[in-house]
Amino acid sequence: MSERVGNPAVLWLRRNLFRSPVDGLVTVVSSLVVGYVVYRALRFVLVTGRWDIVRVNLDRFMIGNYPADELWRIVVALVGVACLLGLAVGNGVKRGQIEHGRSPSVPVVQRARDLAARLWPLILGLLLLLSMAETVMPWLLVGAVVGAMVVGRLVAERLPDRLIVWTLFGITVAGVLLVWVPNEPIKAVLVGIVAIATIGGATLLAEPPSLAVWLLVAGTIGLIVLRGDTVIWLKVPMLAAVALIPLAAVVRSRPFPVSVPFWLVLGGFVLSISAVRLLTRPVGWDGWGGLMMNLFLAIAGISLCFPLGVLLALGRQAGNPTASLTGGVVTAIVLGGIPLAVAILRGIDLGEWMTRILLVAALGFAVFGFLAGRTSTLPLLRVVSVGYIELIRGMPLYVLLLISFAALVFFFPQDFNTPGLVVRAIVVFTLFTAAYVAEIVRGGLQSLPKGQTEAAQALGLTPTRTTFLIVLPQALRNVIPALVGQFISLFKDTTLAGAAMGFGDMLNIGEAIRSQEVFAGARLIPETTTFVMMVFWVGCITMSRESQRLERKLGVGTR
Amino acid sequence: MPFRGLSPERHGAGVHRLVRPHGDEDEDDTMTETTAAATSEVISSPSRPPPWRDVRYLAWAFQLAVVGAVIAVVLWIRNNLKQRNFLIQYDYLGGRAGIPITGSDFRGTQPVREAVIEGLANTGRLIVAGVVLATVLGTLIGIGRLSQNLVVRTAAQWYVEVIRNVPLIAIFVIMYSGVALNYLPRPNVSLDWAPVLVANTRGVSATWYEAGRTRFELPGVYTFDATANWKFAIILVAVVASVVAVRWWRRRVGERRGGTGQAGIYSVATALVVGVAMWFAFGFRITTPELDGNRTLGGIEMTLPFFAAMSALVLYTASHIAEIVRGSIQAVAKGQGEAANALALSSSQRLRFVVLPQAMRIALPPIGNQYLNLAKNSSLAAIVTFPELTKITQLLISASTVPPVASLLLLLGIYLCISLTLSVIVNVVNRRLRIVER
Repeated sequence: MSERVGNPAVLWLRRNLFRSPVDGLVTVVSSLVVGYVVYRALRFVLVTGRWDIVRVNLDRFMIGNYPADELWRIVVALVGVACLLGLAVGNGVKRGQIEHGRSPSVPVVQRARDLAARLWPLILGLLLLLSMAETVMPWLLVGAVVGAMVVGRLVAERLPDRLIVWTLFGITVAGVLLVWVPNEPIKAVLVGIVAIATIGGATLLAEPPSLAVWLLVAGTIGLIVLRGDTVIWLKVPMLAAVALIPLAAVVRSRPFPVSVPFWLVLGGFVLSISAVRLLTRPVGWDGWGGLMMNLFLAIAGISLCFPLGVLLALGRQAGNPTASLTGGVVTAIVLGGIPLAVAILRGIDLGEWMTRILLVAALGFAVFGFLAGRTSTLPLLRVVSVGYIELIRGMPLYVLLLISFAALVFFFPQDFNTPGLVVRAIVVFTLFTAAYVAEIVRGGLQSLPKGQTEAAQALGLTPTRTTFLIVLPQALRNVIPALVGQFISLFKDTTLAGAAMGFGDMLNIGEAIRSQEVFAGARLIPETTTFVMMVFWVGCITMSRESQRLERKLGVGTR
Repeated sequence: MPFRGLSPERHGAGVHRLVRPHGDEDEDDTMTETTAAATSEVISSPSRPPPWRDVRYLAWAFQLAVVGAVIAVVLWIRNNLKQRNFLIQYDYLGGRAGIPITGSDFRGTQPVREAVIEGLANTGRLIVAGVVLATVLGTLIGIGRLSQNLVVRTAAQWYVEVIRNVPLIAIFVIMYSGVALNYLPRPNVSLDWAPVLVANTRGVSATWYEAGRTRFELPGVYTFDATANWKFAIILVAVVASVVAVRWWRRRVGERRGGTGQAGIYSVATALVVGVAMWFAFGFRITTPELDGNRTLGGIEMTLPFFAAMSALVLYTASHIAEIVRGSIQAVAKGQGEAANALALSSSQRLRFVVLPQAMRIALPPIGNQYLNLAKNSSLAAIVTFPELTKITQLLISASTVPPVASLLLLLGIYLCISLTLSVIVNVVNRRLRIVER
């Protein structure tokens, strides 16, 4: 303690490792434990592990059984999406510059160093993957994707907004046409016209923009999912939704908006739907696999759950924001549980009793909702929202996936063309994540000062406009980091789908690979699983670090 | 741009706050022509808008439509089930199970009901062990992340960053196939840390308690054959109850005489006396595992699936709890610690009396959520073939002794009950803590 001066190394050691005798002991013991774990891990990675199983099957881990002749589709889709991402980032940078002034220019070496410090897990992971590749193709692919992103960013940073809007318009229309042209020429022309009309109409309507986008997306996704010989009565409303937007646009014509973010969102959705169509065309859903499948499930889940999640959050927040209706759910379950118990104990057909149970439960809901939500303007809606959120949050995802795998068929009419496994998984992920997103959005809504709503009302905005133009944009901005967190956990949870439903996602495809002739009986589960964990870790840690950065940038909680 | 819709003539709509706009342009045009006088007339006149434009009616109509849609969907599903003759009946619970359950003496001739109960017991074991161990490990790691010791801090940080960012199933698979099946040695070269732990490919044995059965009898009315676990639970309840009573009593004494009444010392003493006395009264012993040739004797034996599932759940949940613990310690205002320093409290006193009580209050709700997650994640133990509720239901379905729809719905219902029970407990604890807060 007494000697403050001395060898800096010794001082450092004393400060960090040997503050006191106890501290020294802790250091020694923990070093031994950590050293042992690291030794075992390194021994496995460098000496005992047989990594040739990963090297040989790298492509299957990435894209499953996707046919080799159709690989160009993946390249096109990835490059398109990367270009759009680059545009988005560049536009963000530009807007930031307009808002805060141009930041002082940083030397290239410094920028590269910053980027490496930010993205080192991603860069290391990519290099590791690429080093295993046997051909030059993956290198080219990664190069093309990174290049597209950089070009997109530079373009968005340099070109004026009006030109970018037209670029995006072109990209979007081209994406739609590219997907539909190959097989059915007449249909392609029709769809092209509808697409242009829809996109144009949506932008003209564009008020609130998000609503138009959701209508459009819902309609288009519905059309894709229900393509072929599916039920007409589901298709008609979808078509109507898509067709109504341009119609509404004609009725209330407005000047062409020059808002790049809006166009990025719209173009992004149309383009990603086109990409999905492009990728599913030769093999359908079930030819997908590997990491591609996991990523797709996660992205589809989080984007599709969004409208439902926001609606549930709004429903839960309707009226009095402080009163909680969790009690309503409990009441309903207790009340509904009585006839349920009677039915089970006496061995009565539960289907027969379903009506009674529901009636009693609904009565419980209604009574409690009336009592607890008397100050609320929409008590029943709140009850339904709270009920949905709490029920879903009390159920394990794995069991829900099992149900959709084994029992969902029986919930539909006999003549119903039951959707494939992937679609079912997406439906489950969507319904499941919606409950969690609703809670996140609710947090954002609660964080908003009441003055915002009051100011909007004072300006004479209607409740709908207040919600969509004032409240939601701010609330959603505040919860972006939390949404990224939800996306990460959804991404990890997509591995459950493979385990429950048995299709070839990244973790499950290891099963098939291990039974290959060369590796049969070698018990290489640790190798394949470790590899999958590594890939997921790289993805998740990159996203979570970027989201922390975003959080700091947005200043959530400091404003 | 967001205000594009707000053209000046629309300001008139402000007085019509209760009236929904319906996009009818003619209506808007007339609005433009109405003068200020006309608008004020609207305010003063008590006449209501027609029902189809009155939000009060519209709100109710909308809500009824939503509720109606929900009910309609349920009825539709029910009708579809009926058409296929899939009755949701639970009389199958009395039928033969037809499956053996590993790690228990359950036989296939026993009824389905008992198989489900066996699965529920296994799930319960997993949850209880997981909650206790994850809390301990998570707290240690969370505090470790704030340690001034470089090794501890870095190790804890990497642990959290790695475990939190990989899929939970992968951890299950690694713990089962990688650690339990590949890493653990054969019985003849067992990992022998007797008398604490003996592990080999047959199972993992650890030090535990044991006791014979005790029969509690109320002659002619009720007999209860208590196993060691039941008796342990009874001891726990007795200890907690007596400590609560003694604390209450000493606090009263303290209030009367001034001071604390030495509630802390009295409670520790009570816990020790009651616990030790009942421990011996019930005939409890410590049993330690020992290696006898290829067999392990004594201790509590965990099957490999249980060991893998439990350690995966603990590792995963602990990483989340560690983050919560770290966050809540850091969330305690810095001035609190500085104030404690100014009062010349020692660093351990500062932690015990100032920082930790406040941090605990912040940490408890999210930790409760982690317990809920753990309970739900315990269904993943099915993947490593541990016969808990989900696995047993899967086995029963594939043995076609139970109908799939009904049994899966029952499974969902049971998990819902577990979650709701846990969340009620968590809420009660939270509320109690909040009342104490000023």
